[in-house]
This record gives sequence, C-alpha cells and structure tokens, in this order.
Amino acid sequence: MEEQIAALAAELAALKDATAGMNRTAAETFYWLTIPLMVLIHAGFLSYEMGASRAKNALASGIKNILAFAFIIPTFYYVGWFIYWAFPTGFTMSAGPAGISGLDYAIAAASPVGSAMGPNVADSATGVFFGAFAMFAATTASIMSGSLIERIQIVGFTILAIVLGSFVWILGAAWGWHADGWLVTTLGYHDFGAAGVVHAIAGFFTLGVLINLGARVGKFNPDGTANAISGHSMPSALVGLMLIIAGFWGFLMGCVIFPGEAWSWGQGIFATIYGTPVTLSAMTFNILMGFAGGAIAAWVMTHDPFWMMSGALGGIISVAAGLDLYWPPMAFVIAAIGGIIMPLVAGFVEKMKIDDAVGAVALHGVVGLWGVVAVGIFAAGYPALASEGAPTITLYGQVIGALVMAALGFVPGYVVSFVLKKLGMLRVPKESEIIGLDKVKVPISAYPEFLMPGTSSTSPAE
Amino acid sequence: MLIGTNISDWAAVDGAYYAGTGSEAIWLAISAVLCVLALVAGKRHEKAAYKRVG
Repeated sequence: MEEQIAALAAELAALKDATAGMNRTAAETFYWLTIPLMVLIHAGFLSYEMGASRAKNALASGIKNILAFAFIIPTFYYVGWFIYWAFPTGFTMSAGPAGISGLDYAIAAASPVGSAMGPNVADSATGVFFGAFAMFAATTASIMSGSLIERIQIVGFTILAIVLGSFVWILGAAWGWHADGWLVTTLGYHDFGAAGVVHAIAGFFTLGVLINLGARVGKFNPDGTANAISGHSMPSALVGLMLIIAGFWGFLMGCVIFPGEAWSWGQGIFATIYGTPVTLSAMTFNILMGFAGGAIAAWVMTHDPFWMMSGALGGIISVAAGLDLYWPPMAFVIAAIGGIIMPLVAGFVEKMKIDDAVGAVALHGVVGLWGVVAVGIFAAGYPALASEGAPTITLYGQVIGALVMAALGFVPGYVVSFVLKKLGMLRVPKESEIIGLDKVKVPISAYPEFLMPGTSSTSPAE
Repeated sequence: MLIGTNISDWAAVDGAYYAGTGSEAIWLAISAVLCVLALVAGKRHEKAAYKRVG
C-alpha cells in the first residue's frame, strides 16, 4: 500500500512538473506571438507612410520608419524597460503597494547589465515581455512618424523617436499602465488597451513637434487656406492601415497577463495589467465592434476611404481603454463617437495651420483621450485593481489621467523639437524639400522608370 | 579568450548565462557607442546631401 502511495505521489509530482512546464512554455509562446503580430503594425505604418508621401519622398519616409523601429529596440533595452519598473510611484523610485516597482525591483528585473536581461534558463518571461513592450514603444514612434513626413531630417526624427519610444511613453505606462502606477492606485485610472499611455501620449508628443517643425512647402496659402497634398499611392496607404489593424490584435494580446505563472495574477483566467479579470472573448467582441463603429461613422462623415480606415483604427482606439468592460453595442457607439470626433479635430488642426500629414494628432492624440475619458463615462464604478480596498474607476480619475497623458506627451515633444530646431537638426532645407528627399539623400529610386529621366525599364542584357 | 564561455556542461547551467568574458557592461557600452556613432554618421551624410543641393 505504501509503495503504491509513493508511486502515485511520484506520478503526481511528475504530472505537476509537466503541467507547469507546459504552462510556462504556453505563456512564453503567447507573448512571443504578440511580437510578429505587432511587427505587422510596423509593416502597416511603412506602407501607409510611403503611400501617403508624394513619390519624390516615398523612400525617405520609409527610411525614417525603419530607423525608428531599429533605434528604439536597443535604447528601450538600455533605459525604457528599467523606467517602467522603477517609476510607477512617481520620481521617488519607491516601491508601490503591489511590491512590483521601485529602484530595487527595477535593478533586479530590468537592469540592462543584470541576469534577467539575457539568456536565462530560469526565466522564460522577461525577454518576451521586453519584446512586447519594445513593440509598443516602436508603435509610439511610428504614430509620430507619419505626421512629419516630407520635411523632417532623418537624424532629428530618430532622436525624437528615441525620446518618445524609450523615455516618454514608458513613463506614462509606469504611471497609468502598471498595478503600482500612482494614477491607478490613487485615482483608479483604467486604460486596459493603452489608449492614453500609447496613443494619446504619442499624438500629443507629435503635436509638440509639429508646432516647431512647420508645414510642408505649399501646404498653406498666404490667405491661410490649406491645400490638400495627396500621397502618391492611396492603395498602399489603405493596405497599410489594414495591416496596422491586423497588428492591433497582437498589440491588445500583449495587454493581458497570462495565468498560472509565478508572475501571473492568478490561475485559470487572463487578467489585465492591473490584475482585474479579462477574457480574449470580451476583447474580441469589443475590438470588432470598435472597428465597425469607427469605420461606419467616418464613412458618414467623410465618404473618404483614407478616413474610413483611419476611422476603423480610431474606433478601436476609442474602445481600447475599456475593452475589458464594455457591452459590445456600447463599444460600437463609443467607437462611432470617436469616428465622428476624428475628422472634425483633423479639420480644426489644419485650421490652426498645423500640417499633420496623416492626422495622427486627431486619430491618436484626441481619440486616445476620448478613449480614456469614455471609460469614466461608460464604465465608472468597477474596482480599478483586484486588491481589497482598491479605488474605483471614476470620470474624475479618467479626466485627470487624460490630462496627464496629454501633458506628458506634449511638453517633451515641444521642448526636444525646439532644441533640435535651434541646433539645425529638425527641418530639411527648402531646396531639398522642393526637389524631393529621395533624390537628395537616398541612393535608390522608388520608381526609376517614372521618376528618373533616361532610365529604361529594360536592362542592357535584355 | 576574449569572447566565448567557460561553460562546458549544460547540466550545470541553472540560471543566467552569457557569452563573453569580462562584463556585460562592456558589451552594453560598445552597443550604445555604436548607436551614437551611427547617428553621427547619419547626420554627416544628411548634411553633405543638403549641401550638394545648395
């Protein structure tokens, strides 16, 4: 009998080991898969921005986009991941109530020379978490990138991308997208899908840069009226936008915490980054409703496929902060409001003589804020954290959080771009802008048969 | 040996491991310097390109 019990215990232990191993590798694979899905966002931005540029600037826009992605990876490794764990409670770097923040925690979990930030057979999580967050970071830079096309210097832009992607947004994430974040623990701020910490911060950072950068040559007439500067390939822009939406599924997948691990919030069900419950099913309802509401509203408002696809994206951003909470038809309405707001704000921005080439200030900045505030209107009262005595979600907390996100984006965007302007690193010379940036500084041509006189479409061998 | 490892038995590895003797900080510093140098080179290239146009 004792032998049988011992054998059963050994079998149970082996089974537990196997289950734990399976859960660990499933969690690791889950976050791994968010990364290629989020790379689709960058494929989308690449296509979208090149399409939205005139043919003479298509490749220069592409270079800018690729560089933002490339430079954010190492710089986010150096500082961004550390900022996320060190600063949730503010600039004191003290530990928060959940015990997963502060200087000591950050040194252990995210020091760029520490054992967690490299190959480690005892840690299957840090690398894939870092990767997912690095993709969020690169997304912020891509959001900014499209607005600045056709007149910003590449290195000046890259510096701005590093500041936004590896410093600014991640500080906002520490404050409002972390269970120890002071906005969450004191105001009940809720931003499940990063409408504020990614979209609003990036959109308002972009606004600060646009003010210093100025409009493209020929955008505004002397009487203040604006000219439409069409991109050279609307199909490329539209496909890009759809790719961004496909990538959004990976982005939002990266916003949930897998169950059953030592770092998880619990067993058996996904949780939000705040530890509150969520299911992929709930998210699916609301993401799809968000897409639909935003696209339909933008169609009614503009009848323009560019704005319809932007509206679809705006619809998802509108519901992102409360994807875990909304009833799907409610999400549709919230997204439709976002789809209505977006073109109106884009028109206002243009009226202010700000040349936002792709409408990112409206789409990501203002609609991102709408997404944050909407949670306070439509989902107030839910506990913001899973812990006992947690603050509840309120309109007041969401509005304050939205203002913090807008200021946190705008101020550094304005200040850093102002400094770059003074150093002569922000804007390309007028002559280069008129000729086209591809011809000035790119060694190949986007469309050699059409743009380079004397270039034959057949090779000498043919 | 400048680059490589002293690990000769995977069974003995139960945590972090890295290639390269010395310190992780050296590689962190080298990669960061490379990023800065790339930006400096990029700035020089841009400046020369704009100058050619006038």
